[in-house]
Amino acid sequence: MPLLLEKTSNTPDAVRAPSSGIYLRAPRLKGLVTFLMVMGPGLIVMEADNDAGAVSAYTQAGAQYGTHLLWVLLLLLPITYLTQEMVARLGIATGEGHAAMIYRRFGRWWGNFSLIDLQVTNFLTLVTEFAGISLAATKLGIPPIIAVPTTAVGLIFLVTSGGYLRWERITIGLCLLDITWFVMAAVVRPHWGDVAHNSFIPTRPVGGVTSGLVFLVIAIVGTTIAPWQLFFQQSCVADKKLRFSDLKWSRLDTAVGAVFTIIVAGAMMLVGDAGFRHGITFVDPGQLAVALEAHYGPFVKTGMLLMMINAAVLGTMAISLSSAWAYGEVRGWPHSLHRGIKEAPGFYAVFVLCVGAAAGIVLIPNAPLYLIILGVQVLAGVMLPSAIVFLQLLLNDRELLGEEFVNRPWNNWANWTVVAVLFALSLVLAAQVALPSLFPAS
Amino acid sequence: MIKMEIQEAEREFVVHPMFDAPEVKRSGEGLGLMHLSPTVRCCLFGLRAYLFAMVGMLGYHLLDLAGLFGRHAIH
Repeated sequence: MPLLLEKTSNTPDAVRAPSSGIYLRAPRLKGLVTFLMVMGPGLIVMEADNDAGAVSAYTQAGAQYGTHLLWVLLLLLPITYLTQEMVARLGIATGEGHAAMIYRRFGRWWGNFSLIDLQVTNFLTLVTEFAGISLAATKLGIPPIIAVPTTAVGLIFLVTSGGYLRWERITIGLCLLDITWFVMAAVVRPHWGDVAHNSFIPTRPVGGVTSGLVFLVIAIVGTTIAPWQLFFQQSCVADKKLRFSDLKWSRLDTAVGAVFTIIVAGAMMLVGDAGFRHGITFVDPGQLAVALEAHYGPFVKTGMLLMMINAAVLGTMAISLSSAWAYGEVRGWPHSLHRGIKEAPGFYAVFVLCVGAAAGIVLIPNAPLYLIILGVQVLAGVMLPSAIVFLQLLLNDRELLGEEFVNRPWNNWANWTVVAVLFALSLVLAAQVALPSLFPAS
Repeated sequence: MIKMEIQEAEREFVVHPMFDAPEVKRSGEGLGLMHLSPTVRCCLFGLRAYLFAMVGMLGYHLLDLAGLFGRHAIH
């Protein structure tokens, strides 16, 4: 069966169809083949969110509370899907990125605010990604001075040298490498009965509701739904030129990505749970990986360290791209992975600047990484609800979207509930920062 | 020959979105700013104040942790 596409031109704006495409001998495969063509933005945005910070949050949750917080992940599954489905819909309907839409429909003030907020939060997050690479590489015996610049150069090469399709295929490959977490979760032999029970039934962990527990729950929520994801997926969908008819496949892509990501996050928690069962305490997941070697052999140690690097690489790539897309949209620069460096110099310059500067900061001796990590967690938590408010307003914009693409009433009820919960969590987080004695210490 | 044409017609033709004919999207260009009811305007003003307060509080807390105010510094 021929499965190759025939491209009609090298310049993306000039490609013409339907003269290019594929004939299927078996018509029943049409849905599957179309899905495989559309798949990408949803899976990538979800799995890239399992970044270095996520590895840290999920393994800490497992190490401190065993399998008791697995239900939080299950609760986050519909929330993360509903949020990302909206940006996919908006991207397909308008063919434009999120930053451009906010500028256009809410004016300069909110446009600038969203852009600056995104760039600052993204940059701080990028620093944490490179900090994760540095920690994992050190445990693997590779000095940070080699690992960090090598990763940065590799990422820049991947994004700047091959066009959209090559970037997407390689990135999906990196996402699928996260299946290794399933193997590691099986190797550490969790109590599957507890896993099944705690995934569906919330239970009170030993020690009750402490400040540590509240912070971890908020960190899990904050790391599972992040503001950059909204900007990334909409821009990615627009860059891939998804059509109106692709909406159902894009929804499936987002759903598959959400389920895969939540299961990977659960697997990370189970690896952390192995630390809980063996009484291992740690600050960063690299220390857990080293400690687990004594109980489960070198596979878990090496696998976990390599997956930490993979998580950070995926996070860095997606976050930097969301910054570059957003900046390009707002400035009106060419901003597409279809274009070469000469055609979109500003877009690629922002990407290179983000990656290069974040990598550089991590290599500075005694850089205040703890403050950066704390700052990014709280800032993302504070900004996320407001980002979703604008998303909600845009998805109710009948003048722009028409009846076909606006939210249905059930969509609005579900999403406003999510916004209310996120605001409540961000207020709790703020209160915890301002009044550390609000909850009993763990 | 006729059989071949029938077979050709039965085949499904699938085009990758990147190589398909461009669609006319629902562009916001020329629409101007979104019409907002007074209640929504009020809520957005509240949101603006909330964000300023939260960012200010976070900034203060981080500077405090960095030891800028001469108290507990974290490194």
